[in-house]
Amino acid sequence: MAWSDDFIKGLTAAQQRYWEMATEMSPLKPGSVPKLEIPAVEEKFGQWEAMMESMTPSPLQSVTRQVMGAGRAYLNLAAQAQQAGQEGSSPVDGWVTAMEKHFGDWRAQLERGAGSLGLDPSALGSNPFAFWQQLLDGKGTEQLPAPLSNLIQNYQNQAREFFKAFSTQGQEAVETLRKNLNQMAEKGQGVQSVNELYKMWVGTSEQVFGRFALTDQYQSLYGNMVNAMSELRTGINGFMEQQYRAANLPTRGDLDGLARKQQELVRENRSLNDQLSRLNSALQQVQNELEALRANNKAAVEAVAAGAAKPVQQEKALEQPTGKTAGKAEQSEKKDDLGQIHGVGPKTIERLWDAGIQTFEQLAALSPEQAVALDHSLDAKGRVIREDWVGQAARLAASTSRLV
Amino acid sequence: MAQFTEQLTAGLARLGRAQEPESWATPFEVVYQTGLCRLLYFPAQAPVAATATSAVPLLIVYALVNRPYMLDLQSERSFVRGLLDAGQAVYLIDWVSPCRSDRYVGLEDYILGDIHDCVMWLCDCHQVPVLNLLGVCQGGVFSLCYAALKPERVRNLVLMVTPVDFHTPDNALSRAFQQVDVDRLVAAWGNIPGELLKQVFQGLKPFRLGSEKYIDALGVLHKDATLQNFLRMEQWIGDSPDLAGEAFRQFVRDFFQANGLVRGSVFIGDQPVVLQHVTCPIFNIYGLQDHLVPPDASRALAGLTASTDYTELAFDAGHIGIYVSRKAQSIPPLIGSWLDGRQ
Repeated sequence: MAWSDDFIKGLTAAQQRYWEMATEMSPLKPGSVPKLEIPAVEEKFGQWEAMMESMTPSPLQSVTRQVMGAGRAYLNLAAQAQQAGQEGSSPVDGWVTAMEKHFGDWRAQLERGAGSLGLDPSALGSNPFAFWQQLLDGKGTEQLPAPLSNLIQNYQNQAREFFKAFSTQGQEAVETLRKNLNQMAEKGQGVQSVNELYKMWVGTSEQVFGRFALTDQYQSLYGNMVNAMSELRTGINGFMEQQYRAANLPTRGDLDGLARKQQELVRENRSLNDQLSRLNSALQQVQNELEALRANNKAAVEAVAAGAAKPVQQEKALEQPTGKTAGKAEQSEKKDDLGQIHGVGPKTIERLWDAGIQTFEQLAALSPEQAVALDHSLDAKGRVIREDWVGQAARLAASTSRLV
Repeated sequence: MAQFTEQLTAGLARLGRAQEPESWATPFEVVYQTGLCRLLYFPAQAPVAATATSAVPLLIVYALVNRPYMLDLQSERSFVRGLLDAGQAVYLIDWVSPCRSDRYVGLEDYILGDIHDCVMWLCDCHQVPVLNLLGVCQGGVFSLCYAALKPERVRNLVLMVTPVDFHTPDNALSRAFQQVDVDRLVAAWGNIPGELLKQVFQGLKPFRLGSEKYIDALGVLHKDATLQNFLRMEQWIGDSPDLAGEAFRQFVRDFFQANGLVRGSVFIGDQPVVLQHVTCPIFNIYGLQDHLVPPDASRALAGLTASTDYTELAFDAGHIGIYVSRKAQSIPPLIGSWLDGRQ
């Protein structure tokens, strides 16, 4: 839902008042601006904020809230600077003092160890650490059993330590800002507007905090806080498990067990799929080789047949390997290195040639019976079979044909 | 003064009237889906000569953190659009937010599962044996691991703001994780809430991101286009999906804490990631103002791979500005011509 025209019209008056205040306070010169009551700012702002929030389309609500929160914080600080100016001191000084007081108060509150973290977002406009606070703000935690309240205590302590350090950095940043302002003043320079001062403060704070974030102290404070939060949450989970179990309901642990099993199945499935695709491509390769062999074989047979000038079956051609034919003459142009076959030496190569076998294809095409016959004729004592010359030749033929 | 007040009043009215901004500026199609991601295809927008479109598809692998429409928030400053106009066939992996039962999804599932599935699908679709990978931040880490595990599939590797050395002294994000017991954190939460991650990032610049940004916004409310851009960016920042617990645990343990890419100790599933297996050309782009991935964290890649064609681009921008700023619009054409020279 977006705002209606009427609503926007109604808001205009309130907005105008707000922006007039905000902009008129910009010149930071004592006495140059009309008096402004902080409670009045708060009140107007509160009304406006409430209206905006209820009427803003929901996806934009959080943005609106952030803009309004930051605006209110900004305005509050400006008003405090203003007040200092009204009281005769420097508005810049008033602003910085207000900021110092903010971080000082926050730190003191943390030192006192009040129940909540006491995070006061008014200086920032929004709370960048809200997440860490949420666990502590839940109502009814006091009814939890003792082990849990100990965990809560522990988390609060660790979080408090972290935020103490953070507020100290905040104080340090304001001190640095004050020093920088003094240096500027010595050079005769000054800050001209609330906005300029504010920007200087943000810059200084990020610098100081950025340095802090790189220290071992930060690392350990942050780690302790997160770990204490994990422990607390684990404790709460355990407590819930007990409740579920007592009520005979499925527990988180049960669900996690299922989820784990599910993921294992997904991985198993993926691994099987991988295997399947590897097997598929191996099969494809074998099929390709087979096709190539068939084609070569056919070509060889046709060549032999053409040479014999009569239709000759494959077996016939191989049974008459010594026949001097045109086919043989043709084939002699293409000789494979039969020595690549494990077990075939130079002498055997010659005897294979004598038997009419000059290429891998020819050898590969032998039937088991023919292989045995070849073994006898070569007096190879079973090596043709044992060393699988036919299979070796088939593989060599395939790889040769691929290369071609 | 009256004019200023008027502007602001009108501006706030616009904030109230503004509709939820569209996530993506450039039209896309979902061409393929796996369990954990959608593969988006961006058809060319400007008329590009048929011959000018690259035959090798470009696959953008985004991080698991936040959503990828940051690369396409507005059409006149869109990284995706820039790549399209540079003649690339652009695909993007848009991760699906994990649900409760995805808490045991690990890096192997993302890298050897979804990314690999998308790569194979694209290779099949385009009838090519290889493609170009472009990894964004954590997606760059995934892409780098993938290129080491499946070098036969990656023609060129473009890395943007990608951390390689997680232990450079200026890496505040990494420092924040060093003493976190990540096993316990994940055991306690299951999936890691996006809200927690958001706070981790915002906590690195609490004053700038928690306050100043919104005060600045007050000043631009009267400018329609600027307001829209602000809202889009806010929407993007707020749109922070949960992270699958196991993948988060592995990433923090193996990369942030053990600095595994530099030490050579990373395993994806049961396979070691050996950066020396990466031989393809690499274009390593990083931001000189990047506070999340400091320049040195990215520069560390030089010399770790076996690539003989390694190019660096140091760009004067931050982690996000390197995509969305006006001057960053010069980067996609550079990537395009770098890729075109290496088809």
